[in-house]
Amino acid sequence: MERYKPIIQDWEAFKKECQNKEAIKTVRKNPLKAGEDFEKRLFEKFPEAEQSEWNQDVYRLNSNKSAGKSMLHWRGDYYVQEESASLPVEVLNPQPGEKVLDMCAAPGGKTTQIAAKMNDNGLLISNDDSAQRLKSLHANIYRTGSSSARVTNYDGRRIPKEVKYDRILVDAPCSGEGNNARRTFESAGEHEYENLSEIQQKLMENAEKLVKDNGVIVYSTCTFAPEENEAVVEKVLEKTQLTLESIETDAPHVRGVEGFENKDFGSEMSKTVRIYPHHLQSGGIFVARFRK
Amino acid sequence: MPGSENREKIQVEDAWEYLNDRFGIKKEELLSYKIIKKSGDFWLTSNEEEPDFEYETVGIRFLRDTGKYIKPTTYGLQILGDKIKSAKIHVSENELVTLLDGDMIERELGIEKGYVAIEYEGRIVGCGLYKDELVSSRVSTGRADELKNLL
Repeated sequence: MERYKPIIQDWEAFKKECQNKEAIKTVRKNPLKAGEDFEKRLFEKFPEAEQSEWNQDVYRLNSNKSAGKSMLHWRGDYYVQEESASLPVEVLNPQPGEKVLDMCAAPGGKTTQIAAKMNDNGLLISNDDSAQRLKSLHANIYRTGSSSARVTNYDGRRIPKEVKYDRILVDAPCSGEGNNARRTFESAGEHEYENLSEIQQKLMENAEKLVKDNGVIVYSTCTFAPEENEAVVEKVLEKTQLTLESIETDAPHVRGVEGFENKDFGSEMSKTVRIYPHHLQSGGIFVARFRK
Repeated sequence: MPGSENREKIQVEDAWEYLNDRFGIKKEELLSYKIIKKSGDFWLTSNEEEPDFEYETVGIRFLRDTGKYIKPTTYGLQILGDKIKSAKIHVSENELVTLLDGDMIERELGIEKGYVAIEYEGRIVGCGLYKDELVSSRVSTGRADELKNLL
């Protein structure tokens, strides 16, 4: 991770947080299932729980009890999700009645969040190219009652183009450094960055073809590598008609980096957002929002 | 038993009729949803037309056509939740454990034999079968084991 020292200003806080082997436990309320007494039930089970300051649906449990072992979880009243991982769908901001594509949907945290934001009303295509990961995607869709989700198993680069979507989430496959940092504190290799970066660009190029005029595409990864984040955004801006929109959020964050290791990505990258583990005692995430 | 028509005759309209007759839920209460028949079962999904894709699943498996009967799924009943007006039983924790252990509990419901929604602490937890004034659980074994460990 030392390679990121020049771009992570509060390096010591970052390093210290990564030494905590576990992120703080957080859950996202699922309004499709949770009743009006959700908070009462949550606080009965987790008395120290507190609501996130920037996302009213997210609760920090402040407990050693397992979030996945409760009646609330069994019934789908909440979804166990890292606080930072809830940002991409907040930025996507899907609305009831819209056509939305989640290009890389498994295991389903963001797809079930999209269904909830749409009040389960509209067309949600939840795609993932991994047949193996569909099992967990199905389980989470069923448990949360996300009936608007239609699951497909296409390679994201080859999703049929007969439908144009209002919004597309490209939560791209990535080297996962934002989650791995707590385990190994080692960055991924150059070869991995190169391969993933190419896939990420291709996914975004297909997303451009699939989105309506004036539609929104949100690109996100859970890695720190600029090769998979700002460098991909730069290429997308070069190769497509998409424009980058500035993300405004109350979540603690820093802006995307304008350069790294002698590569210049340009000042537009300040429109993108990075969340590091120490910001929310959570995983890391990168988010960019485009409009066609 | 409601929905016990000949297999070939059970279609989407029969599924809606079953929901009304058994659980007191009218189609108008689920306007943002539709029921579709796929692979012999009935699926609940949002009321939007799907593009002509190859789907793994469309929405949530809602009702199963067992060949003799229409059987609601546990996930389906959970979605219906508060809309369920009839064929619903409230159970205590002890009764729920009994059901999840595979045993039966006694109830006089004054309704035809058939499937019922099991409610615990104000929330629908799953599907049961009512017959001869006895109720048994129809929650799948895996989900039942998970739930039992949480009680």
